[in-house]
Amino acid sequence: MADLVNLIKKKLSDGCFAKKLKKEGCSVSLKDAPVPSITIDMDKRQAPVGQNEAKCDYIFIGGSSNVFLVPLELKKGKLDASQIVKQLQAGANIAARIIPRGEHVQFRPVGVCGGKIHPDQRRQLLQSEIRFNGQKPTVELLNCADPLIKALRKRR
Amino acid sequence: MTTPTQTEPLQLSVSNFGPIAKAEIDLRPLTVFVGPSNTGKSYLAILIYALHRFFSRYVDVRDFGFELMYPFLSRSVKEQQPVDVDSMRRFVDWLRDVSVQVEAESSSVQLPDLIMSMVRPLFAISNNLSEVIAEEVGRSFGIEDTAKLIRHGNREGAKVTLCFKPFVYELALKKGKREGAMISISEEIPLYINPHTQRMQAVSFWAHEVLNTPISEDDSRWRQNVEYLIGELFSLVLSNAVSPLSNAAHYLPADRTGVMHAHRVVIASLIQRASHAGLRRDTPLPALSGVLADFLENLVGLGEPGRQYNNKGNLATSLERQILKGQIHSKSSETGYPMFSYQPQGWREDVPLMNTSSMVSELAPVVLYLRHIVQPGDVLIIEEPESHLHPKMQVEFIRQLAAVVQSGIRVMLTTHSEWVLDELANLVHLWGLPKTRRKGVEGANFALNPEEVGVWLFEPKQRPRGSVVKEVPFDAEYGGFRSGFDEVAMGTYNDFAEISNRIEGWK
Repeated sequence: MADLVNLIKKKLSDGCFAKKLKKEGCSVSLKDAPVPSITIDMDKRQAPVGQNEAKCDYIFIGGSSNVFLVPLELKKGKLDASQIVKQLQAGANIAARIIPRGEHVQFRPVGVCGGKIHPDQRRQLLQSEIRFNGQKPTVELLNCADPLIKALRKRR
Repeated sequence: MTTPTQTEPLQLSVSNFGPIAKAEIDLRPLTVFVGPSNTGKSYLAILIYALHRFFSRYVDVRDFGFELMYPFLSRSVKEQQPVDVDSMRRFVDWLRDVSVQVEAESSSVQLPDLIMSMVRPLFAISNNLSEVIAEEVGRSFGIEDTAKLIRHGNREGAKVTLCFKPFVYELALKKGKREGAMISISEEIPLYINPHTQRMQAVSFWAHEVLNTPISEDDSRWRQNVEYLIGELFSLVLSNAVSPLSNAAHYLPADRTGVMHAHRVVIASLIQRASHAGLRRDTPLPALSGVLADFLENLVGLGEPGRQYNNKGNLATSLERQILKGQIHSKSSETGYPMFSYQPQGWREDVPLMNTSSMVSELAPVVLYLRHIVQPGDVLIIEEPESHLHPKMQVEFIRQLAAVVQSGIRVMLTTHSEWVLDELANLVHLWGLPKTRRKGVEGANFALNPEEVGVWLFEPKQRPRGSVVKEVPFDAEYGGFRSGFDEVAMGTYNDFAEISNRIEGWK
């Protein structure tokens, strides 16, 4: 499976990768994140996305025995569930094009926000589904500046 | 004529007090304390209440401060600053002019040099106040030894610093002693009065007496009247400087619902036990915290015959109409003890308060205080106003409290409610919308000026062990005040997501 990350890496242009995850004052730390890994910055010109195509902020692919596929949407302000769902689904669709058919990955869509979580937004997010290759997990949330690993490991 | 100036807000610094390691706040028309339990929100609120209790009485020289002040006053008028009739006459004329010419109620005006030089030495008496202030603080908390208020494990002692620019007063609580001093009083410090306060009446009275006292060979009566005038001016300067602490405070404790149901039993029990004190050694004197005792005293006082409604009765009525859907009645029994009841809208008969919902009992004291006790300029301190209220009612209650603030009554809250803070944020956010575009917006009449609202977060820290208090400003991009509630919301959200993902086998 370790080859999967490298395989995907080779398929993509070097110019689309990001070393740090930061958009508009909100960041996510890659400390202790699974390795080997790549993070695609979807705003880069070389990113595998069409000019007017919907997209998320980043796609993280990492891990050796278990490979995680994590579309990430970052927002400094308050949580907007419908926007996050739309963009994470767009990220999942883009990932479906770059991950070879038949390869199993653990799909974990993650929303990152630095603002308020209103109860109706919370409910809306819990009821939403982001689909990827038959998986439809519930979106996990991180605070701005949290490490990505917090969303990937089992809690407690 | 001196140019009118605005008084700067009073700042309060507290260190090593109760669970609080460090706090620096300023008192706004609406002040909110938020944070986890046991971080000192009520401690700080009770301290502020005690300071109000002290200063609102102390600035009234006739009632409380004169005995302390007299030796200084006499020295100031007789020895340091010999005064003559002409200079006092000029001052009285000046006083009459400022009363007419300074129009804005919030404006203060600087005293003439001669008068300032007579008033300034009186501040020296504040060096003798530490015992009296500490006593009031101890009384409000219901403890005899104020050393028990020092943060656990701390050797320096607690310190309370009041900065009412340009004055600074420091009170230090140490084991076995209290120290207090007014610092930074110098000859250059200008002194201001607000000619529109009620206390100006006493100044005008003594000014009139000074003008009309005939002076014979023995001018002792005239000098005494000058002393009274200077004493009242000191009171006015101090009242202006320590504002809003010079106004009364009213504390509605968190357990008010229980008290509303059980006040007769509590008071009867206290009286019964007090009658045994001293006779039976195993019967300790009954004790209550000052805030609870004052609350009970105010409730009992509502039974006094002839008690009048104050001019804020409409705020109470609005609370009754919008939230309680009925009226709170206070009737005096034959013994003069008050009986509280609730009359739901459309009912002919009253229901005793103890048989009403907890929401009615919770809000009844707020209605009674607004109707009978609280005056504009006073501060109403409410612990956890969200208790027993459905979120919808919490939101409505905050709108009603905004109306209270708009009417000139200051409000201080401690809260654990996200709904309370969310609605407060909406009302502050609404201020940014021009009045002409507010029509149809929820709470359109209750917009709050962001500068009049202060939200303070109590955060527990490990080193030093205790809480640190910091202001959390309104942040439109964030969507409100950063109160720490979102960490809880995110935690419960992710718990739910984790359970769902495990059930579905995705994790």
